[in-house]
Order: sequence, then structure tokens, then C-alpha cells
Amino acid sequence: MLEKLKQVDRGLAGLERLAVMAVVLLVLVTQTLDVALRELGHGGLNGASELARWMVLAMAFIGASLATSERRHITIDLLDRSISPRVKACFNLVVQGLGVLVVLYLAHGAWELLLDKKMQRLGVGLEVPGFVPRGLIEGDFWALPLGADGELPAVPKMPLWMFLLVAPVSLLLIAWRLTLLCLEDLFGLRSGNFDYLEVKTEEGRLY
Amino acid sequence: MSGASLAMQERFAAVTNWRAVFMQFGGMLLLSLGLGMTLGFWAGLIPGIFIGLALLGEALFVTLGLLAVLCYAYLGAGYGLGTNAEEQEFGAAFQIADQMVALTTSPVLLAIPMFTLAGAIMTAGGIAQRLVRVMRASVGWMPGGLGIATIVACAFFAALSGSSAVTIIAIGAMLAPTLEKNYGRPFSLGLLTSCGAIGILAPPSLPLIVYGVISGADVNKLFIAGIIPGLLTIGVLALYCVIRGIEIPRQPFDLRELTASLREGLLALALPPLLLAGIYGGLVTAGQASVLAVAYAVVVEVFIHREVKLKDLYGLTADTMMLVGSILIILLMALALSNFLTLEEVPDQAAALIQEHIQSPIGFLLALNVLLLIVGCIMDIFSAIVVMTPLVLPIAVAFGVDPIHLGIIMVVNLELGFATPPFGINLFISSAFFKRPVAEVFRATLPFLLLLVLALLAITRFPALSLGLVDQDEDGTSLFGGDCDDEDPKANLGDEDGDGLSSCAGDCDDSDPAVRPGQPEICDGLDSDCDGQLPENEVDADKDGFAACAGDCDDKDRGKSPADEDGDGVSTCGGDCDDFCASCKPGAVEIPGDWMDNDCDGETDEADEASE
Repeated sequence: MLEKLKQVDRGLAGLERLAVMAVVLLVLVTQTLDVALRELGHGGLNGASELARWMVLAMAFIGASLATSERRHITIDLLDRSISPRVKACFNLVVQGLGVLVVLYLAHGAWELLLDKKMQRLGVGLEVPGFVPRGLIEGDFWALPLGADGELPAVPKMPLWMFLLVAPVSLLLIAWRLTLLCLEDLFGLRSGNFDYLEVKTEEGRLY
Repeated sequence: MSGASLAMQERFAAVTNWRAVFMQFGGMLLLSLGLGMTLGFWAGLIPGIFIGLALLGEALFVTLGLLAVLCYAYLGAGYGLGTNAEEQEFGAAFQIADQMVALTTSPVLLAIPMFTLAGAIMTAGGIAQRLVRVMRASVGWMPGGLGIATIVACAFFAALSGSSAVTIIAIGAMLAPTLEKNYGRPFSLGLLTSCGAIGILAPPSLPLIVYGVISGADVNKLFIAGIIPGLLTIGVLALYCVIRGIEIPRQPFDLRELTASLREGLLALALPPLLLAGIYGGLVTAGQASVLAVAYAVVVEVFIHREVKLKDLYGLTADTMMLVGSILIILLMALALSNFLTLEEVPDQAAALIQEHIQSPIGFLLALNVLLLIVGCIMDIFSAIVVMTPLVLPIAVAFGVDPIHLGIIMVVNLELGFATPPFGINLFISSAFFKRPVAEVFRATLPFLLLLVLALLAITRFPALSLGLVDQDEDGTSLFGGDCDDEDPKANLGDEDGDGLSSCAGDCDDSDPAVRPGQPEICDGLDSDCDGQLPENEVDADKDGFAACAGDCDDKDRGKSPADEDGDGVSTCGGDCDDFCASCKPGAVEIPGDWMDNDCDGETDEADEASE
């Protein structure tokens, strides 16, 4: 059963890798264009800086979610040096179980925030690209930000909630992965095989 | 097998030491109790939970998230756990999420993922080999040249790769055998272990960027501030290498090898100076510089050196984002928590408490050094910065410590923590990679550690080492550039009024060419000779617009001035009793019926008539 769940998780992780690659490429292209256009005297690319800031939020959440599946989150592992894998697996069960609760609660908060921003019809300084058909974007679902007169502006901005969506989704994925890790530890304790604990490497640490 | 895997194996091979576990738990319990008794229930419980969960191996972002939930739900405003959507009363989770998203207002944040990615691409492209070749060719002929080459290669590599562990392994693998043959094993082990993190202050220093995000300090200024302390730490180790290397045979200088190595390694070496030039030349922000660094790394490693394939970039990017994600999620939680602490004025209270016991800034900084060294041993540098900065910064500011200076002190301290016994992570990595007992690595590292501590003390004691190159008042000149007061933008080397003297050369008013040292005093109400004193007769004491030198006959009486307001030819100083009445002055004829004292004899005509 665990292997099937892991297979599902690998599929999800593959999608996340694609998403994070797309985010990085988007930032690279828009920021480079921004600098190039500005230096060439064309005033830069409007909204590129704001887009980059929201994309960093996406990188943070997707990266954190991917790091969970590989047990690569930063911990203070003083005890690691003096305990056996069996004890480590027991500790993991406790801390990861607690982690699931905390992360699920935070995901709930992130979802509430998203709904609140959607209701307020707040927008980000980016404009909805011209190639998106107007009929498609004007539906109530999109909750596009309104102009000063309360009407939809001629070139609508991107709704803020779309950028926030990454937070609750990634936090849910982190909770799901922490649950998988708990199951892995349970199976490890039952079988006595703790090879999976070696996945985390010191090279993976920054500084 | 990689060094890190060896380290893990060594750890797992160790027999479970239950006594150590119980001792650590006991210590943790005692510490929590102590904190609880000293600081009160909640104040003690919060660090207790933090230490407890951290020691159990809880992911740091979960620990900080839990603390944030508890604080927002039950302390201060007490938002509670639940949300009443109808009443628009949001619970702790909403407040934390709101704070987390607030991080997107920081433009410099982009630099963290992008510089990390650039470093990963450069590292994958075999930069270590090229760096070592350049350094050996350029300084290998000097006394202690091999040691110095190792230090400089480590510094560049750590700055570009962003990882002390990878630095020890990459540089160590290439230089350890030669170092050991020439200098002996202890020196080789100690040098490679301690120089793993030595490039931490060089741009693009991620710890400095994280400190900048948390503290609000200008990242560009932090990069500049890190230059001298970075060179100092490199310098003290290099000096030790020179002393140890005097007797050791060295390779002759070979210009052809230097040229060849530079041709191969110049593109990698050029990245930090290019970044600095771009940022300080005003072409790009730190965030944009990081994006261009990625583009540069791709061009150099994929298209010029051809050591990284285009398809490898996918895996490299995903791996880097995992690393970055694990750091940024901690940053998000820590910012939510620190916002709560700031709202509740916790750092201010802590500052007041500490100031009761420690009065001098140096005393505070020394105590801080000890604390940070301990923290640096047990926490990774990013977590330590995000956890410690919000607590330490307000206290440091209360002691008059500059936030930029504090940033440098913190990063150097945490850097030393990596190699500090008994828990510094570099010690364990070296032990595993070089296959030597940890105790031997401890002993070998000690002389280097002591030298680095000396450098740290100098950086702490002399703020100018950090601030000397920083133009703090943004007047275009730094302290070492000749600015006589880098906190006052009016004091600089410019000569705005063209009188041949700058404000730093003594011109007390650089907007007025008539004011400069040696200028004779004229009656203009200004300190024309810049002696710091306005002559008494130039002071307009009664604020009537005239000083004594300008003819004010009584500078204490606002009613007496040399001005002739009514144009009758006589001022109040000349005896005019009413300077707003053109028909009133001494000797004028009394005009009957105007109720004025026309002749200034002290009586009006009407009064004269009445008395008659």
C-alpha cells in the first residue's frame, strides 16, 4: 500500500517540478526583459518586479513541499549523533505527526486568506494578457479586481487570489507527505529496515 | 561514496547511547524549567517548546509555525484558533498566513533562489578544478603558497556554491593529498575544515541577504560591509600559512601556467566582481543581479565550458528549489512569529532587561558573540539568522550598535560555529570525508579556530572594519573614502559652493562661498570664518532683523531698530517714537486732533489741550 501511495506522490512531485521550472523560467525571462528594455531606454517591463515577488512565494511553497518528500527540511539534529535509527524513527513519528496537524491548520488559514482576498477583489499590478478572451475572464469565479468606479477596468488586472492559491495547495501537499513519512517510519519500525533514513545528505545543506 | 553518506553511516553505526539521550533531554528539561522560572510561564514555555521540538528533530518550520500558532491564538490580542467568518473575526491561522504573504513585499527576496541556482549550476560545471588551478598558479610560488591557494579557492568556491560542506569535499578532494604531504596531516585537516565557510561574506552571500530581508538593512550595504571582514578572515589564515610554509619547498612561478589557468577559470572568477559592479554601478538591483547571474552561469557552463548539459538544468533547478523552499518556509514562519514578538514589544522588554545587567555596547557584543557561537554550532546559518535577528537587533540598536555591523558580526560568528567543537557540522563532514576520527579533526582545527576568533574580536571591537567602506549617509563617500562623518550627509568631500574647501576640510557651510575658514567676519549674521562662533555684534538678539553691527542701537529692545518703516527719515534708533507714523518724529509740528505724539515729546496734542 505504501508503495502505491508513494507512486502517487512521485506523480505529484513530477507535476510540482514542472511547475517550479515554469516559475523559474518565467522569472528569468521577465526580469531579463525588464533589465534589457530599461537599459535600451524603453522603460522596462511593467509589473515584472511584482510578478517576481509573487513567484518567489510560489518557489518557497513548492520547494518546501518537494523538500518534505525527500526529508530535506532543516532540522536541529543534535540527537541524531547519539541515537539509533530505531529511536530516530520513533522520534520522527511524533514530530511528523505533530507537523501534519500544524501544517493542516496553517493550510486552513491560507485558504481563509485566499477567500478573503477574493471577496475583496484585490488585484496584482499585472494585467490580464490580451490573448485571454474577455468572456472567459469576466465570470464571477475570477473575482477580477474592480476599478475606482466599481466597474471592471478596460484592461483588468490579475486577481490576487490566483497567486495565493499556491500556499494552501502546497501546505496540503506537505501535510500529505508528512503523513507518508509517518507511514514509512511505521513500516520501518515493523520491518527493522531503516535505509530510507539515509536519503538526507549533508551536501544538500546550504553553508 | 560521498562524504556526507559516510557521515551518515558513521552516525548510524554508532551504538545507541541512551545515556546521552537522557542527558540531553534532562538538560533540555532543566533549561526549559530554568527559563520558565526566570522569565515566567509563557516566556519560559515558548523557548522550552522550541528547544524541545528542535532537539527531537522536528522540522524547524513546523516548530516555528507551532510557536506562531500558540502566540497568535493565546497571547497578546488572543485571536483564538477558530474563525468566525460572519463576524469577520479571523483566528491565528489567518493572521499567520497574512504575515507570511507579507513577505512578498521584499524585492530582495528574489536573490535567494536565484543566487542559489546560479551557484548550483557553476558547481555542477566543475568550477572547483578551475579555481584551484588559478589559485595555485597565482599564489603557489609564495611562502605558504599552497595553503593560501587553498584558502582563496575555498573562499571563492564557498561564495559561488553557497555550501561549506560541498566546499570541503570539492576543494579537499583536490588539495588534501598535496597539503598533507607538504604541511602534515593536522595542518591539512584543520585548514580544509575551517576554510569551508570562509567565503560566506563574499557576494552573493545568501546569509547576508537573509539578514537583510529580516532586519530591513540594505543588502547592497551589507555586501560592501562584508569586504574587509572577509579579507581579514582570509588574511589571518593566510598569514598562518605563510609562517608555517616558510621552510616548505614551493613551486616556481610559471607565467604560462598562470595565463592558461586564467583563460580557463576567468569566467568563473569574474562573477562576484561583475555582480558588485552591476549592483553598485546602479544597473541592476540585487534581485535582478541574481537573475542575470543564473543566465551568466548557464551561458558559461552550458555553452562555453560545455560541462553541464541543457537537460541537466531541469534536475538542478528542482533540487535547488527544494533547498530554497526549505529555507524560505522557515523565513515565512519566522517572520510571522517575529511580527507577533514585535507587536508585543518583547525585544524591547528584553533590551531593557539586558541593559540592567550589561551597560557597555562592547560587553553586550562580547556576550552576543558567545551566544552566537553556541547557536552556530547547533543550528544551520539561515535558521539561526531568522530566529536570532528579530530578537537581537532591537537590543543591539538600544546599545547603539549599527544594524549593518551587527549583520556582519552575526554572520562571522555563525560561520565560526560550523567549525566549533563539539557540534560544528564541518567537523563531522571532514571527519567522514577524510576518514579521520572526530577528535583528531577537533584538535587539528583548534589553531585555525583561535585565529578566526581573533579576527572576529577585531571585527566586533572596531566597527569601522565593517562600516568603513559603506556610504551610510549616502553622500557619495564612505568613512575610508575620506568622509569625516558618515552619519551626516552634509559632511562630505564635495565642494558645492566652489570656494575650494569641502565640508570635511572645514567649510562649515558648503552652500555659501562667502563662508569658509579664514574668511573675515562681515555683518551678515553668519559664522563667515567657520570658527564655530558668531561674533556678538552679529547676533540679532531681539529678532528685529538688525544686529548691533548693522546699527541696532539696542539689541535687547525689539522696539529699537535702524529701520525707517514710515519713511519719515528717522528710525527708532534715531529717536522716532512711532516708526509707523510718517508725521511723527522729533521736531515735527503737533497736528491738533490726530491724537498722536507728533513731536515725540512723550505727550499727544490732545493731552496738551486737555491739560490746558
